[in-house]
Amino acid sequence: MSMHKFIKYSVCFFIVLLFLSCNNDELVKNQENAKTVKTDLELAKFSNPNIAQNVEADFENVNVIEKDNFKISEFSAKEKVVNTFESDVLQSHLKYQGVTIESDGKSQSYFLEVFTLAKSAVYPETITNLKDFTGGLNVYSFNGENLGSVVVRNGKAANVSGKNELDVLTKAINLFYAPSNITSKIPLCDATYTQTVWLTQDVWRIISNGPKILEVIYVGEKVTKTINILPYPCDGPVDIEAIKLQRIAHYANYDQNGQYLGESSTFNFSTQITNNLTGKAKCINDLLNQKGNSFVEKLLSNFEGTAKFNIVIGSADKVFNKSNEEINGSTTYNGGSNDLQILISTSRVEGISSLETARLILHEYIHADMLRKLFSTDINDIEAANFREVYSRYAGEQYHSAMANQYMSGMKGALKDFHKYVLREDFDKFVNYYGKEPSDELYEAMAWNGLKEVDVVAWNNLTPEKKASIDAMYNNVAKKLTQVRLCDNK
Amino acid sequence: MSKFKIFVFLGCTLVIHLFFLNNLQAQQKIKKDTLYFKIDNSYLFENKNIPKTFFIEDGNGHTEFCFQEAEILFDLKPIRVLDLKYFIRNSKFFINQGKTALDIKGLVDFMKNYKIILIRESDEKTEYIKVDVSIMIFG
Repeated sequence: MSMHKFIKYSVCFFIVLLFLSCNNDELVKNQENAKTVKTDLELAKFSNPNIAQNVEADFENVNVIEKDNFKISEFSAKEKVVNTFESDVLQSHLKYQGVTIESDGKSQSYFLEVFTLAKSAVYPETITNLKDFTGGLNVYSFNGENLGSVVVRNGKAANVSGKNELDVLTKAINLFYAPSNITSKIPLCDATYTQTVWLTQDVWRIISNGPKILEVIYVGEKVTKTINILPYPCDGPVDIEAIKLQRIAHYANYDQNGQYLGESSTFNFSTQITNNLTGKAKCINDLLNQKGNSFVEKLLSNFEGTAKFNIVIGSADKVFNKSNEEINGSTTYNGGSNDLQILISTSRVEGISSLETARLILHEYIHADMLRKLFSTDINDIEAANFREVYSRYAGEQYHSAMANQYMSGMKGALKDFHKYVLREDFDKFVNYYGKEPSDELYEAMAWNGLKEVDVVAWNNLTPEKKASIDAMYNNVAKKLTQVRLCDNK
Repeated sequence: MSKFKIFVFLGCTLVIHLFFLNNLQAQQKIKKDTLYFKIDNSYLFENKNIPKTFFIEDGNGHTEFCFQEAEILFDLKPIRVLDLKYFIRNSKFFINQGKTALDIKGLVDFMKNYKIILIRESDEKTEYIKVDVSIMIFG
């Protein structure tokens, strides 16, 4: 390497090192700032119940801006359950933010509750860029003391409460105020009015044992009155009605021994799989639950914990379709209860191999999972959204087409692992008879069972040779698999 | 504690329990408009092998739209009883493009917004069956 190149690379290396080191310094500083505000802010002490119980601060992102002799550190805060107003004058949502201002060697911290006028731009979550904002800031200290109000009109702040503690905040906002020729001609409207806010809390006591809810008790309602001083809208209506916050719920969680488990503002009924299976189906289902591979585990976990869909799985001597023909099983989604009911035919299960029984049960669980995804209203459930997209592409037999598209690979793997690791007796018999382990084609042929319909797109897309090969594998090999007695003569 | 006291205690617990659970459900209840349909045993019929389930003629054989009985009510006075066949076949959920198909998911989502009552008439009585809309997949 020439000397010239060496110098060039060395310079680049040190620039990168310097850059990384700066970033690292900023990160450390940011973490220090976060640590300070996190220690000082005591939301639980706030007299305003919405802030005390329904607001959480984001200490991870503290922004620091320095101007003149002011150092301003800001972090955002949000309502866990977002309340909305019924008001013609104000925007429907409150905003929250924490600010620490250092000036002349003193530090002052404020927690802001922001009311925004309907005609204003949305509060930008910083006090350093309020040129398009008009509204009122209810200002609290970090330990919940109400310090009064600051009114902001197009970026110009006024300490309307006249309290000394608010002077630093008002000055800090006005550091960034740059009046234009147009706005300076409009007279500022610094008058305020008092607004009474009634907050009604429904208080519930939840008694649970693990994920299972034992009792839900309505304790009563708690009404709280808070007074806010708001900017009088110069161009708004003269008669302003009091704002009424929506009801919020408050849940106190206890275990069955009366031990307090904590508070929450949301409550999900825990859901579960209720197992009413009998005989061989119960045995195989229990084994799938205990020893199924990761595909089965994930499939079943979609119905446990705080999912919104329950599964009730049970046996019936015979299961029928709409035309009264006997079938292996059925899965029903009930739109009233969100329950998914699976029925497995006992008479059908008695006549088939253990692995085929596992396939049959998995087939119905997959139907349940598909119905869950189809009717899920959880906008954060990307997997469900993707499934709905796939489902919508098919006409006719949409469910089995979507199953073949989305679940075929998982089903094959689940059957293969269940055969090898749980139905070992049958697996060994196979190896002894054929002199080798079963090929993947066997599990593929089994997974196709129940999907080989005229309207199933993926099946129709297979070549006649492939279809014949799958049928032959199923009829000549899969049907010869045996029943393994694993649970008390079943 | 005597057996009587235990029964009284258990009884009170049950009543309190039911009261609070009902209270919870009442809080969450949303008022819905009611749609009445008559079971004509032709387009809308009960399946003899699948109890408390009412199917419609339209469907694809593997996945079916159906109603599941939730509660039987008496002495209702419906202002208007709708023809389910006309209702469904003239809706956007009935797709007739060479081959007819029913958008079952769309129909369920639509009907979930209503309280559905099926009317079953016999010589002796008229029953009003409050039902849940459902999808049944035959696997």
